[in-house]
Amino acid sequence: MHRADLIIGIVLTLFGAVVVRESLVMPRFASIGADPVTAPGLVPGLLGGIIGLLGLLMAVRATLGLRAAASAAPTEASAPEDADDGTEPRYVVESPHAGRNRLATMLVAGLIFAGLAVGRLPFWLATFLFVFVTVALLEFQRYGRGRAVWQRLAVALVIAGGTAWAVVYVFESIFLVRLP
Amino acid sequence: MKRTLRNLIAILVVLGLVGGLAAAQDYPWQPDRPITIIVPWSAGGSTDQVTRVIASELEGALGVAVVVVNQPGASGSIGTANALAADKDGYTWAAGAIRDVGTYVVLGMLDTKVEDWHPYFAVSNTSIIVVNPNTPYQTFDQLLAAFEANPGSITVSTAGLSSAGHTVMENIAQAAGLSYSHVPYDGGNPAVIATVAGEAQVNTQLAVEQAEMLRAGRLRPLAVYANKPLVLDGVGEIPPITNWMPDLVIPSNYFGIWAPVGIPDEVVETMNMVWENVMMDSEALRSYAAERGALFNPMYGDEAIAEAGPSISHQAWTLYDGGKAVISPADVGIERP
Amino acid sequence: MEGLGYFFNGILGFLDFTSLWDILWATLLGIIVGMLPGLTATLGVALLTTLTFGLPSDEAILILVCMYVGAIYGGSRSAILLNIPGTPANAATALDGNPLARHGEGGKAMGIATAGSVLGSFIGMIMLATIAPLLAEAALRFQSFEFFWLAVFGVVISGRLTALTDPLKGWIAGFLGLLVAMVGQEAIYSYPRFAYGDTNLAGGFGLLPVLVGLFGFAEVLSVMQQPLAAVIKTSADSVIPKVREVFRYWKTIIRSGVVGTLMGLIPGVGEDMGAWASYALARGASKEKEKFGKGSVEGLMAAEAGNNAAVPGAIIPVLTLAVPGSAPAAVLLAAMFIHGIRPGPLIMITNPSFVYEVTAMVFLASAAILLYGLLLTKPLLLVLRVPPSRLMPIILVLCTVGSFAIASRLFDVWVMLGFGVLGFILRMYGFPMAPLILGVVLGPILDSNLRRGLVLSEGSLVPFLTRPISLALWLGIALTVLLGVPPVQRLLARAFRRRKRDGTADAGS
Repeated sequence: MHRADLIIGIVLTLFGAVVVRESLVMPRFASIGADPVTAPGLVPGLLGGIIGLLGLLMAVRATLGLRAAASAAPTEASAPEDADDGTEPRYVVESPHAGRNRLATMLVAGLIFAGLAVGRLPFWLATFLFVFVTVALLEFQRYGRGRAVWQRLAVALVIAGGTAWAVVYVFESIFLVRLP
Repeated sequence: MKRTLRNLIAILVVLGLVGGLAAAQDYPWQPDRPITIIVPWSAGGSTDQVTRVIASELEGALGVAVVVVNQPGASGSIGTANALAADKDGYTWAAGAIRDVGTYVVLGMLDTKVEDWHPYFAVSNTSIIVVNPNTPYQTFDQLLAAFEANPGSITVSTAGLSSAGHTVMENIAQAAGLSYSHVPYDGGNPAVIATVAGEAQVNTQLAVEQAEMLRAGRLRPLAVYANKPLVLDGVGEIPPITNWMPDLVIPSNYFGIWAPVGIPDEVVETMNMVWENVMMDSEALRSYAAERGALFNPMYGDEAIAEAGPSISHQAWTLYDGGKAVISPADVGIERP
Repeated sequence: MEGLGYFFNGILGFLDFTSLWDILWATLLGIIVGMLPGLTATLGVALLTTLTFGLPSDEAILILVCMYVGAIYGGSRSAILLNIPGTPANAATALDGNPLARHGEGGKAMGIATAGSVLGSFIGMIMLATIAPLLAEAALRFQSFEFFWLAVFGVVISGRLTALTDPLKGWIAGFLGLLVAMVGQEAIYSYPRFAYGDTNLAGGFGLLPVLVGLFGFAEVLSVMQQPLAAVIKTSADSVIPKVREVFRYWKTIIRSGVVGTLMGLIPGVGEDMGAWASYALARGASKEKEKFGKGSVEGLMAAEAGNNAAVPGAIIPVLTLAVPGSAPAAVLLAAMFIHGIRPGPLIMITNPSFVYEVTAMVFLASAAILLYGLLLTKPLLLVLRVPPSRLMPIILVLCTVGSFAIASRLFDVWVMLGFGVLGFILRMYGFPMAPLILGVVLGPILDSNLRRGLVLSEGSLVPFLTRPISLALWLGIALTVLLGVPPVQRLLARAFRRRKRDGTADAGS
């Protein structure tokens, strides 16, 4: 964790520095008699500086190993995400790669759908294909065996068809949004 | 009973079941789906308000839903660019002030000119020079004298560089050889409120944005930026600025909607008829204008393009002289007025 | 007392078949709009403004108010069930609402949120009816200097509250959000910052695509990565919150209602800050601080009471100054003008009954929320039973449509994707998303008010520090930051212990 903090801290410091530099080269409109305090670069420059400083602080803290001290500070509770106190739902036992595979499936499919397909294909078609492919892939990952192929495909088909129809109907007819 | 019936119809329209129930007249163009008007500014502003009145009149005339979409950003050039790039089928329109459309090119934002559009104007807006009632200025010449006595220190609130209010103040300053402290806000309403609250002393925004505060006596009107006096309900007659500065050139600032050239002829014909028969007698638009201090001014076709010319060249050269334009108006065929 | 008469007349006036039907469908539509990520109160109100043109003015305004109240409430549903706030105002709701749902108390969480929303609306409504003209004048005291500090305050507070163990990361997220808001044309010279010649970038990143990306797409990705829960236990507990449980926190509810209304009152700040400010105060005053962020009933109630109280709050300046307190209120203002109602400082003289009619509308909309809160909770809980592998692709489709729907621009879809991936990475390393989105909201306010303040003060920083409201705000910021720094905390703890010891020693001698 310290190493991640260190790297993020350094990245933020560099990012802040770039922002400050970019802000300094923004025009100041002095030629039209503008007040220098109103220069467009003022606030982004300040923000870049603050982000850079906070990043540096984070990097320094990580190097000194102070993160643990921060967590142990009095009056502080543990992080919200560590809140598992036995009432969490029970999990299906699955291989450690499963999460990564699902993430990759969703990320790639999502980027292709929203980044490429929408705007090129009719919206209902893009939606149908995306939901069908994603649900089908996830169904196969979810039930390693024991379910017929046609069952999984049928589930995906129903969900995809329903989604495509409902989204187009609701948005185009009720909210009068023109879909791409 | 009538109320209930109308209500039911409205609900059905909301549910999208009867887009074309209301019978349209025999216009050559019979739209079969909702028409979109892009307002390239945020909701609630002066363009948005007048556009929604226009939309309701169009809805009644054409019998389809007219949807107002707000696409704010980059001084209105993004929404306008999207309308220009949309399918030329008459279902996408843009709204705004025509002089902005004509001057995006000199600002380097969007390469378009007024001849690329079919403009349909509804109202023209004027500005009133107002001051906070706690300031000592009772008449416009007292304010002028104060500007001369304290160069660069009297605060004027506007909606930002090249906004209506800034253009007005810049013109007055250039004509009278004055200087002032320009305090820009994020819109016309906040600028007006700042003068009401006393943060700034003077305001030169549009009358539509000032009307309520003038009626309440929270602002003191000194002069209207026009060559005729303006009568505002509940305020009385406001003298024209030309009483004190007779040489000032004051082009009208037209607001309306437009679609790019290339839309089918029957759409243009239909809109011309709607403007001639509906907008010119629109009670809703007329009362909106009277209440808000705008001038009821429906206009279309060649007449509209001809009327737009002076305000565009005036605005373009004011921007250029102020160092804001990146392209000289002369290079794109806009003559100095 | 005259006002009370107007108010009851207003309610009686709406008790016919048409009005009741309007209230029911408009509020339901509002809840749906609020629930869908990307469709917000602003969009809903704007849409209905166009569609209710032909109706009589009181009916049209009634529909719009119901849509507004319903949407702000509806956003809490998806915040609780899916950890995706339906509108930016519900970001604080997700902090405690979602942990409750994950622990199988989704029904209870939604019941509590409903109670909070309704009670918050009622408090706001009472303030709207009683002290509207007075409060509106107070809003005028917020000028450039105060707005600047308020923006800083918002980011610092929410950065601290959403990252309790490590406020540094919360603040970094908040300042990144402010920086995101810097992209595009600024308000004074229209100079396109960080645009590099691109027209889309010159328009800046829209708030909603960023929100939908950070919370929607990023959440979808996070869920995919987590082990899939078999089926989340749906609580058998009643969806009707126990009266005792609600009234145990009566102080929190009243405080949140008042704070929410005041935040709504300040132009441009609106529901988002209403939720955050009341959440912060509730945590500060709570006896169960440690539960906040992990499923605190009190925190959930504070957030929902705060954002719903901000609705009547934002309507106050609309009516009395013709200045909207928030974005949806701006559309409402436009609608009133279109219907020939002239809100403004004269309204108490020209049309005194209207203020109370609007109050009655808020009351009826809140009543409808209560009804739907009781009826819809059980069916909505079914959402939790759908396996994420089937639900998440649909959510992503909704995120895509939602970010496109606002302005019909494909660029917004790409912004959604980009911020989704960025948000996912930041979350993985413990950066909270809520301060980032609040930063995007407050960025333009901070930017233009700092520079404008400097013009007004002729470059001097003194008014920023000495004006009364400014003084209170910056002291509050300084205190929040100091208390978030571990060495200071240790020092304080030590000093506190010593004083306690000294105290006992004194008593002994």
